[in-house]
Amino acid sequence: MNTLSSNIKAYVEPVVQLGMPSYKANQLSAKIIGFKEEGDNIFTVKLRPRRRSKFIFKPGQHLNILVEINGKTLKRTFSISSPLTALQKDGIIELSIKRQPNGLVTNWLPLNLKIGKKLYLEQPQGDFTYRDDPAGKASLMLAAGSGITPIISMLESCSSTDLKDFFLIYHVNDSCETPFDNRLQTLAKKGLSIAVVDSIKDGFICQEQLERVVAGRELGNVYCCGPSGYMNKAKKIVESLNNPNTSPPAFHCEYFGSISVEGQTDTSQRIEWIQRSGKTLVSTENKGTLLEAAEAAGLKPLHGCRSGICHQCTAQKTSGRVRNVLTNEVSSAGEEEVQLCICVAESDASFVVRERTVQ
Amino acid sequence: MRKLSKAEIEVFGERLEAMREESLAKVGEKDARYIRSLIGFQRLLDIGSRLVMACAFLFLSGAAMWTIALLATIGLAVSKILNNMEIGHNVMHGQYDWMNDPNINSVKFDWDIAGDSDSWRRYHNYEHHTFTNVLGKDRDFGYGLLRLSGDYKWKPKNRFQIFTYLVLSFFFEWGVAYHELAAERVFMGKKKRDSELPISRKELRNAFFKKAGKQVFKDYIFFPLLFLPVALPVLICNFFANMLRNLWTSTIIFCGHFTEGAHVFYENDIQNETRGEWYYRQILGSSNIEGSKTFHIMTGHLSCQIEHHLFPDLPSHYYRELSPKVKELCAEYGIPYNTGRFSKQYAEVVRRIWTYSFPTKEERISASS
Repeated sequence: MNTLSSNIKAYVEPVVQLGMPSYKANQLSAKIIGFKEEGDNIFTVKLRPRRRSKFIFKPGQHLNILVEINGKTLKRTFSISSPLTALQKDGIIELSIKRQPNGLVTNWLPLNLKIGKKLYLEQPQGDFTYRDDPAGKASLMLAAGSGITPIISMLESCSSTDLKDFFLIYHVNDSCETPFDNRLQTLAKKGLSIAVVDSIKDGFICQEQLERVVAGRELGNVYCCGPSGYMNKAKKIVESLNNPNTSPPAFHCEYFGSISVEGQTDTSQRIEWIQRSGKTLVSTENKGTLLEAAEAAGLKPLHGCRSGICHQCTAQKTSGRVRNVLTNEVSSAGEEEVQLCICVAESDASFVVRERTVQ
Repeated sequence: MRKLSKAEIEVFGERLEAMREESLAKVGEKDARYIRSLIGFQRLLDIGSRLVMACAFLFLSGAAMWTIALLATIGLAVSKILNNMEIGHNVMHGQYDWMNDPNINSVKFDWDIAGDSDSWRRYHNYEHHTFTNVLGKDRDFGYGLLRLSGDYKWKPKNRFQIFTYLVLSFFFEWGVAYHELAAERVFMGKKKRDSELPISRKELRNAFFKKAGKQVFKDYIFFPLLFLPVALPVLICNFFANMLRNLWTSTIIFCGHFTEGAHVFYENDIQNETRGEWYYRQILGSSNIEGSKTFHIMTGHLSCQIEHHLFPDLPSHYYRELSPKVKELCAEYGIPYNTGRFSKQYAEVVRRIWTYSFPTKEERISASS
């Protein structure tokens, strides 16, 4: 990205901002063209990406949006909930977003998004995408809560064909208010077998339920999207379903949902350290600050004062929450710069670390 | 100055910490707007001054040409001063890292000066700000060129250090650029054995040449050639703009640490130093200059050197409102708060350089006996 033209754009960015404060150079954007409530605290934003030739996605992928709240740019990841055909025909994508309790961005968005305004975003990414099943096999979709968003995009993207070979088990908090009800009914008319499960009344995902829905069909791919506890359990069930005569279905999952901030005093977070070479180290027992954890994991992060003064150890957090031990302030969950020497992990997290190049 | 107890110093530190948190809680949109519009203004001034300068030489003549060219040179110097001080120095301290801006942050920002920004972050942010005025630890104390304390033995070369100082002032950016290489003895001298340099010596040398080359290319090749018929006068004006900036930054920075009242410390003083003691040392080792809001911005708020050393990663314009509070707190504890008008502080700096040009009385006595 460091071409001459992007450098020049970055140089003049603050000059342009004198007249157009919301301008960002070198950043994809989309025009906001619609907004609607889906129920269960989920809302959908309808967008028309600018520079359409450069914008493409595979159903199931997610993208980052950038919003500026009180001077701070916050990056959050949401799944695209509209089918690929809507982009190809009308140049439109939709993001469906659940308001998180205490969520800074998800609660700010519906109050501050204005139709006709610009929303900055990044290219869609992710490996949680639809792939064709081997002949004769079926696809099983497992969704919980707002985890339905990438899955509905996948289903609608292949809705021109018959959906006889698709099963969906959808866990909702309240079956009286099923998000995307109309769209799911349309899909059902095309042959999709849907089981909507009220998780409060009928409980968590279980084997009988799954076997009942699939009714003995052989599965090629299983797509699962929801909170991590839900996905772990789903994976175990799918593995145990396996008929010894056939190959096991491929299990694809996408982690979803907010990270809990409160009560995290344990040190068992999984931290990924991404090195400049692209190599990733993982640490699971994290004692002390992030700087100490990184050193224990075998990295050699740049650092100086080890007390929060010099900003030498500043690293790029790509996901997770950290707590500043000096102020006890907990960060947001998106991408941002953090000082390793005065922060501890509050959740699973990953960081791009700048390291010494000599021993 | 009365001796403070350990407990008193800790309470003093906590009260400063509370001031920092109070200001940090206010940081937000208006600060983002401030730094963005200042960068925007500075870049307009940069582009504008260069264009006006070239146009003056191309289309005007006589007194009008020289007047406009002079104003454009001053404009370019002001642009460089803003870029280096209120913008670069402060952004590279991490004062705006909270914005999460891909360009305005302590890791990526690069400034319009000969020194490599990574090198500067290493020795300035870490060494100078952690070990401020600790003899043998803070190489910014006299920059290895000037004797500013009787703790250093007088050498015959110190006799001419007022001239060394003048040369350093005019070429200050090159001093900044060469600082870490000098300490690591990259080009001459014996290789340091206990080097903590996180990159190889070759990488350090390459980074120096890359940045220095980029600066020389920009001011002395690219822009002069861009306005080819008047390349030489443009080059000369660029040179003077760089000189003006060097002189200004050097003068302000010397007033921040080398006034007569600025204390020095020994390595023993900082053994097991607490946060409170660190705050205490920052105040004793720094001095402020009084002035208007514009003056403070032109110095990058290094005119509030005391507050800058207490709160290096707080957006700098908060120093102005914190200064009277810090002063009052110091008065309560009987801690000297070194401040004064520019003329007074600068006179003290020159006097300090001059005084230590000569052997101290004891050195003279021991030399003669």
